Amino acid sequence: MQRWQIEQVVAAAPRPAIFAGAQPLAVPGRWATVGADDRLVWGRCAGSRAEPYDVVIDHTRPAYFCSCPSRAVPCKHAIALLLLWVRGHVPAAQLPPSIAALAVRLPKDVAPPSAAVPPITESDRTVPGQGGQLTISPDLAGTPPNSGRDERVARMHAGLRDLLRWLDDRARFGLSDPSLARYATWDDLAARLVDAQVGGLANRVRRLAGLVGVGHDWHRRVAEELGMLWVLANGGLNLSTLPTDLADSVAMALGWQVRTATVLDGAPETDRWLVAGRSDTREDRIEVRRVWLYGLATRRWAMVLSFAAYRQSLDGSLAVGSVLHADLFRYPGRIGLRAIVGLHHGPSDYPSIAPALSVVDGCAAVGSLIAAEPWLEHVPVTVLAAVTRSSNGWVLSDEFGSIPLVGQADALQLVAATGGQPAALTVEWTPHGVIPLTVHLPDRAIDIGPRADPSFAAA
Amino acid sequence: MSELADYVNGLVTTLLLGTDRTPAPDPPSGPLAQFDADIGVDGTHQTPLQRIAAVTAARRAGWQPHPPVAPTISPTTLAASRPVATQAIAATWRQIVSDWPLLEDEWLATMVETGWLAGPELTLPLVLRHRGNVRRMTMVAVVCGPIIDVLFSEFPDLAPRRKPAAADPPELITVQALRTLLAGPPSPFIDELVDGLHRLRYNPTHRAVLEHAVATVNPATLLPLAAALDDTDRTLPSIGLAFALAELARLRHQALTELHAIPEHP
Repeated sequence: MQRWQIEQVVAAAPRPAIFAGAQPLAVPGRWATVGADDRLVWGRCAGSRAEPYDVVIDHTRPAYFCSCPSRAVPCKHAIALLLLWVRGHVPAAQLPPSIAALAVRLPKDVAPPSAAVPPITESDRTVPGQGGQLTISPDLAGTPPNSGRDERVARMHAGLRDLLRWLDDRARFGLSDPSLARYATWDDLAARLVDAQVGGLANRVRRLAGLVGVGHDWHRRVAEELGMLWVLANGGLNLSTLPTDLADSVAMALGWQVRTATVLDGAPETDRWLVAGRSDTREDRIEVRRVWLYGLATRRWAMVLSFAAYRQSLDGSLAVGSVLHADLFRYPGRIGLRAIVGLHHGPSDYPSIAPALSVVDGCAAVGSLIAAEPWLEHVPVTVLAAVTRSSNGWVLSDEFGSIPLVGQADALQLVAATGGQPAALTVEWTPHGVIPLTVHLPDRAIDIGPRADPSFAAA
Repeated sequence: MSELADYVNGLVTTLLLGTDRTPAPDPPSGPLAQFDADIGVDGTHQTPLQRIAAVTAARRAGWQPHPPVAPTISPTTLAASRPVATQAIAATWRQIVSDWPLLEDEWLATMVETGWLAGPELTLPLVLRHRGNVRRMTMVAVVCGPIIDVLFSEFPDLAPRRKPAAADPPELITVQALRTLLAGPPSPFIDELVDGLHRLRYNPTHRAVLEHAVATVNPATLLPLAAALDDTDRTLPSIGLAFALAELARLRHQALTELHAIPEHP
């Protein structure tokens, strides 16, 4: 067994502060179950929490695993264990089974960073069956090795591993952990994910924070969303093993940025697009507007996003109820919901009958989109239904089925607009229920979707 | 409770208490158990996360409607007996509310007088805006028609606390020199107002009373007044006031024109 030199430990610390933080922990009294063999060093460190952190280090590659929530790799616990080892306080030992189970979670490869990047093949450049749409892969592959893109992917992987460790802690210690009631717990994690350039996950974490303690079934909601985070984090770490279109969907959900110019280089989808609905939501300090377009010929949905910071204006160019004959360029992904409107070929007439499904068919349509991308949080559908009151609250119902609405305020708007009579309604499915966006009447469309607070952003 | 619901509850309980205290339940036999076998669930702390993710994805993708619910509102209740206000009328109302709320009383009174039924996009905004004002709520009840009763019966909190009773709108106070000209022909009123602005008899401190005058003047005066105000000397200190009054005159003219263009209704 070749023991490291202290200089190697100093060099392994990602920042001087981490080495400094490790020094107080590098005393035998803080450690239990320590041992080392010719490949691994392991131990359990008593940290600030009731539960100790499990640390395993492969000193031959090197690779590090620690159950603490730190985003730093190696963290101060791993550095402390290395310090303990080089100082001769870690005895040679047989690998215990409990540590062997943890050792399989050591990163497969960590250095150099470019080696962690999934190899990009020529097949990554197109998406089968998507009409020659773009993929994210050209962005990933189009830059030379050792460029900022490698660094970014490595950072993303480190952030995803950090998230998985954090999720592991949540699963171990439970959602009843009082720290989960503090927004700072979630905000810190979100900030680390932003640093790792997975802003999509950071936004999900912030939304998740808003679910804690809200409603009688918040435990179930939070558990479900933690499950989705787990799926996305693992998907992000295994992009190269996924089908290309699914990998693109995962990358988009993680928050991987695709240049507008790259999207506009793709094949346009020309159709008469009904502006079927609009929904504004606040994401941290940004107001996000989703405008849902429905292709009257292709019968496919698309989503145009716009953003506004404080005192900025959201894009109001796509009026609900209008129809535009235009090219649409979709972002890569299995469904490719997000899109950019390209060349307008002129206005078009409002359809005399809005294309609406029965409630049963609407549920199936939503389900098919979610089956393709299970982490979707908003899915549009237009159903022909009436708002009515059931024993459990307000629902949209036709003669074959009903779907519950999220809130009474939505029902109020629908009753006022329809009088409770059947109408074509564009709604947005969310994991927490259905939000009505638009009432389509024969001569007009009424936009009732959630609207941005005008004191924050102009519509 | 179904086996699946029991399983989900078990997973949530595990995640609530933590795997150190409670192990994750095994899935019921079937696709979820097969999923476990496929991905090789390893019995680590992440097992309940893997399993809840699988269940969540399956449940969302297999979204099923609830049983149908019979309509609670009778279809005959809302049969429109009057023409429904156009989208242009609704747009003008929004502009009035946003920019010139002093025209609201006249707009409502004209809706009642001409017999329009408020469009479905206006019903709730009108109720929410005027439910605290007994006099206006009386007009809103007429303008919105039978849907008001449906709303109040389905959402009792929405109903005004007092029974609406008719009353005259408050008089808009204006300057004496203009008051005598309000109901007369256009020219004297226009001359007095434009001349007053030029000679600085009227300045921005008179803004409120001048707006009142434009909001109550003979409607035939509105368009010529707007044109005359547009021609005001651009160097005048009150040029901003003149343009604002011109805009008010035009909007009022537009609102009245739209509301008086009511079609025949069978």
